[in-house]
Amino acid sequence: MAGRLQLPSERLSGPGVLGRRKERGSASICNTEEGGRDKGLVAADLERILSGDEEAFRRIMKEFSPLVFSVALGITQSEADAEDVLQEVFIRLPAALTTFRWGDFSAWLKKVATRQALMWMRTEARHQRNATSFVQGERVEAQTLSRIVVDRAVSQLDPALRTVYVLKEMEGLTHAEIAEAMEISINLSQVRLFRARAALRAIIEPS
Amino acid sequence: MTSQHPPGLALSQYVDSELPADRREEVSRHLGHCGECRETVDFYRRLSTAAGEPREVTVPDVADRVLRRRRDLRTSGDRTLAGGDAQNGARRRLAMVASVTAALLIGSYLILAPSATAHRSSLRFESSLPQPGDVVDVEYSPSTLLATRDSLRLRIRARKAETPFPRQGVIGELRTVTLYPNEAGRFESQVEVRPGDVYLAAAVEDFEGENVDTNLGRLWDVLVADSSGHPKMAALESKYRVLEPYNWVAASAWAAEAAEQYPDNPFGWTLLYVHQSRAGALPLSDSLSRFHRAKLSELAEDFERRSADELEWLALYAQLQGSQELRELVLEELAELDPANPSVVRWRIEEALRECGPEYTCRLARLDSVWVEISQPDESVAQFGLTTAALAGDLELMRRWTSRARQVPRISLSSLADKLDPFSGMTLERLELRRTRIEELESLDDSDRPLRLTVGEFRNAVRDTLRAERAKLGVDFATVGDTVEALSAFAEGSEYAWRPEILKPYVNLLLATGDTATAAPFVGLLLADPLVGEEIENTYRFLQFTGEQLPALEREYQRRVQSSVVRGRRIPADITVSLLNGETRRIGSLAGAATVFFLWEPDLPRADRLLQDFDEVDPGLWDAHGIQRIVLIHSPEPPDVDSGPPVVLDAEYELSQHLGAYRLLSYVVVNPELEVVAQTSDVTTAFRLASAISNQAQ
Repeated sequence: MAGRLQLPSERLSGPGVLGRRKERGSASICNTEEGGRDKGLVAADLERILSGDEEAFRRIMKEFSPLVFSVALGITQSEADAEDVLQEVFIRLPAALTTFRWGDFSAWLKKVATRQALMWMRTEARHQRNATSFVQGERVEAQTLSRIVVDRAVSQLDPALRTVYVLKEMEGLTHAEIAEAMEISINLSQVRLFRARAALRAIIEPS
Repeated sequence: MTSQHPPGLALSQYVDSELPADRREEVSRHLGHCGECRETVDFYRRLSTAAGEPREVTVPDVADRVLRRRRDLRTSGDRTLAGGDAQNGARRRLAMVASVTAALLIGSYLILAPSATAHRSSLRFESSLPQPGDVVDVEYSPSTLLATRDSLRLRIRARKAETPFPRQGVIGELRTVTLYPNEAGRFESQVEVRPGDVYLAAAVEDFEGENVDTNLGRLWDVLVADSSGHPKMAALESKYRVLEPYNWVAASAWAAEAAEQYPDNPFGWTLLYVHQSRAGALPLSDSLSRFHRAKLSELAEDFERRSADELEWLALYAQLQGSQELRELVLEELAELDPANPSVVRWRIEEALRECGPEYTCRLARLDSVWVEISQPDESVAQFGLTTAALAGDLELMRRWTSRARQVPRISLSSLADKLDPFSGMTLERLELRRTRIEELESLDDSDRPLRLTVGEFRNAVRDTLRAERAKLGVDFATVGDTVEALSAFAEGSEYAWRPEILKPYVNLLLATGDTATAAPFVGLLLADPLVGEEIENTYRFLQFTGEQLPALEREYQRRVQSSVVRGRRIPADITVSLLNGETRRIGSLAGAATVFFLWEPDLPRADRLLQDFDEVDPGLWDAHGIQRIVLIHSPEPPDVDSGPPVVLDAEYELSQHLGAYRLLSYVVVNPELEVVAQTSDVTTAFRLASAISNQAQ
């Protein structure tokens, strides 16, 4: 077989996505790329984890807990569940690392967190706990569409739609990454995003 | 397009700048004069902005808990290992560090994936042909992933004597045994062979059930001998049935081995024929055909002395080679020994169809006597009786056949389980996967493709027509035939991207009426879709009822292809792909000949086997039919292909998206006009479809 492919340069979480975040002036909790440590140090710590180094493991957990928690919270819509998922992800991390291929660790970790959260929902048969009463029929003024309002509406979405929406609009994954994490096609990911948006509109602006 | 609203999905994609340039222009123009759509787009944008705002949340600190849990997992076990624990733990950690260091030396970047030279695991049974009542020692040399554990679980599927071929019975009794480490760094335990066992197949996993070693899908197994020291027929069959869904190559090897070791038994030779002819898809060479004919004669010489099991295989061997007379002789003999044998029952139904033709009363009378003759509830007969009675519109008979059907023992759950991987425990996931796939098919309607009919519209049309027909009392074949004609014209007349879930009820109706000729090409199309693969067995059984041969199916398919029933989405010609040798290629250059894409992904359970299939089907054969082959990968790890079809890297899934490929490790068949024709997970089907298209094009 011909020699190995010349590998493309490491893909960041997308300057486009980061760029958009920066435009909005957000200090979102997924800020590992912006303020995170040097990638080489992260890689070294990952290697140490495999050898059982607990300090390295602590460093990794400290740095990446916000990222994992954010994904888990978005999907499970419950802080208690998200905390359980957070724990499970890290407990399994050393074993999972053996399947981690060269690439962007943050993006990979988000996919792992996604799968773990989805599995959690399934095996525990969780229902939507977060039924914070959203007053139906209360029209929301165009200017006041805020994160809180969106969060409440998102919690009412069907889990499959919600997952895609959260991953795309809040966690900044691309459709390709979402497709891989959820084991669906890219086309379906786009369709679900559309359906989520349409559903959110019906919830927020019933008319 | 500017005169009517673009579909909602397009607006959503517009907001994300995911539309191709020309579509974006169109939508832009439309927005220029449509307030309603502008509001929608505006809302989506505001939504995005709001969703991206930061959220105040306290992130819990789980570090202590995680580390404690991991320590607990490492030290806990069924028994405390006297002194060995710390030592073994340390030894294993050193081993891990060593392998990681080695990996670092290989490349300048960190590869944390197990390399191709990773240690291969093995499981050894101390006895190769144990008998019931024996206790057999077992030793397991672990894979890298499992080596770090303190104890492991051995999962055994034990097949019992009363699970006959070819019924889809229970997959076997599950037993688990704990494996403990020994001084040699391996794991060991003992396995009991119980009365009634004929075959044991095993896999090894950790206690969390996360990592399973299935020996690359081949499992480790042991045949159980009878008191004379030979394995029973059921044992031979069990081994084949365990291998076949996971590893075609290993199943082939087993067929050859069985033929060699037990040359008087038709079992091995029949399966050898099946594998050599790729289940009838590839024509055997003259010498091989002659060989099998001679073997058939030899085995059939004094068939009266054979057991029921052997007769069943002999009948199949004869049927595959087209020796109908011999087959009937053998089946008559079998009928005397075992009247309720499934092969016999199917043959009786076949006869009924053949002798009665389309007359329902005649068929139902024959089925009635079959039912009484076999004197025990049989699924095939019950199903057939029920469908025929329903089509005849005879309520009395429908009631009778319904109550008969209810007597059939419920094996449907086991047969469903049989199709799932018995060692993964991922039942729920698999079921959810199916739901997602169906959703995906339905989602294709929301996308911007030119369809004259929606899935729902066509389905409703089919249902309404059939309902109208059945509403009339005393439905006769002619009327159903009209229905069939109408449906046929319907499907052919519309410019319609073929949908399997629409064709299925149509095909089932045709098969139930015995109209296999009309059904044949649609069966061919259904074969191409992995979603309906599970139903294909039933379809094949129906076809066998009238002795339909696969070549006839292919001819019909070619005819249908000519009349353009099959259409698909077109791949843009200007997509450029990179080959692994650095060359680039324009997809458009593939036009003019049929192409088969194979979507390959490393580490999935059947990846190696399927790639071998793709590689091993004689390259000359693909070339002779003018079919181009391409392997498509998404990760930089190249597959190990020798003679090789070109390998293309599609890291951004762009090409895959256009191929509509929703399933890795599948084959996508593309016609010379760059339209996607079908997808399948079977290389034989892919080859047949591609060659049918190729030959039709010439």
